[in-house]
Amino acid sequence: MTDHEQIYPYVVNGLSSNEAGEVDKHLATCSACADELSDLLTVTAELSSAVAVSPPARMRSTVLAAIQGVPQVPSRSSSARLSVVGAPARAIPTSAKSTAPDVVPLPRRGIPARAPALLVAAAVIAALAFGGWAWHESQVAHTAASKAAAQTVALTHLLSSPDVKTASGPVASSGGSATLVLSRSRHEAVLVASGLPVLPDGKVYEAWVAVGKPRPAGTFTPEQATNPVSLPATALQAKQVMITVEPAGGSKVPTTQPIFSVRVPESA
Amino acid sequence: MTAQVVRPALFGPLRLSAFVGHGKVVVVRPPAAADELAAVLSRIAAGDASALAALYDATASKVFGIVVHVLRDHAQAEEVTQEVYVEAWRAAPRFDPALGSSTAWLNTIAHRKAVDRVRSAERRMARERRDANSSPGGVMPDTAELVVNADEERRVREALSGLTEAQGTALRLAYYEGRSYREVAEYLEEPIGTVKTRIRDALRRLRTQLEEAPQ
Repeated sequence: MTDHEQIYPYVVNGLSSNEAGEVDKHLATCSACADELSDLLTVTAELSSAVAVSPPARMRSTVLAAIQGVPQVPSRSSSARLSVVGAPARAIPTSAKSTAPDVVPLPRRGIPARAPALLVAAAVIAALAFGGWAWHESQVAHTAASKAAAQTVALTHLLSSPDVKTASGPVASSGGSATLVLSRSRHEAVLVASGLPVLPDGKVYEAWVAVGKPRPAGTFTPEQATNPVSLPATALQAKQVMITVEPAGGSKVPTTQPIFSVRVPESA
Repeated sequence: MTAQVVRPALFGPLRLSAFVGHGKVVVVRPPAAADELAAVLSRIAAGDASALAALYDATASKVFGIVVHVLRDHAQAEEVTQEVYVEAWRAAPRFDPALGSSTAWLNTIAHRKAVDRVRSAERRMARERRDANSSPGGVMPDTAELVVNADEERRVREALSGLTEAQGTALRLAYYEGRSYREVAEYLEEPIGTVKTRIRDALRRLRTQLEEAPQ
């Protein structure tokens, strides 16, 4: 339950990540609070203007170099395509477009694993390095290098979040495995997979997030799967994250059995 | 080399006498200023790196200012500022002008990233140590470092002077120091509900004051 009063500590980023998540959900259904939020963000922006300080001159070139090759998130209006890791699942707390969760439980497959985070982190980084190499092999060298570097940085930041959570499970019948990595404080959730089954022509992987009924969370190709794929913010509140194989373009509901399914770790 | 940042002495004791309680007056919002940066953001969304340079030039002092203000550490503030622009680059396609101004959008990213950084226990402790070591009266800010944004500063300072001291303190601890409302309550040894009320009232009053003050 979130009451309207929570919007005020939310505006100053004064809530815990759990509380902020509750407000995010509330904002999706309360236009009065969404309006109030947008209004108050102008006030906090003014508070910031009053303490402006020039950064060192060298920062400009550092910043411009840092964005080289960094992928951008798809706009909200475009179809739910997955983007590579680093794309924030939520960039600003005014996403009044998330859907209300359903309550129909879904049979679960796969084994949620709560391996020690550091161990998983090491494995994930290793998988990323290898996957990154395979994918970037065909890319222009410097673009590939900076993109890989940006992804590594983004993943490192995610993995080093104080509240990072991971859950791993096997990929059905391929011998592969996948790991869900998420941080509620960073509002990011990504999937890292290796050994996904080979796809016939005209098929893609599709990710799903489910509180009850699974909701589409974007499609991705085997090439994209060599990089971490980011999930929408709804994954942070979901109970289950799954992958199925679907016709190109994706499906509205899963049409095949999940090849991977993992329970979303709760907050500490 | 980590230079310690000294907060500008902008928020000294707020004077209750300065509070002007005229009741609600007709609020005339400034006309939606042509949000030039929104156009810049849409170029960024289209993958135009030169537009990011334009965004940086227009906003870097605001972003760096709030980040260094919350973190009080130059080296970390530089890292976080860089993260802010990388995120602005990534997330620009999600910017929706209908939901707020580009400045508010970017500031949200900047403040949140600074707060995320400061709110890890280690860094919090390091900062508390620095606070403990600084002289009681504080050190004068390096004025060369402060951007001359005197008009905006005066405007906000005047608006803040319309808050009660308790409201101003709660807001300053929460926003400028990046503390959660629970931490503010602990720090002030006040009930959580009281602190939440003060933050709410501070924001609301500030909004009214800023609306009434000409840009």
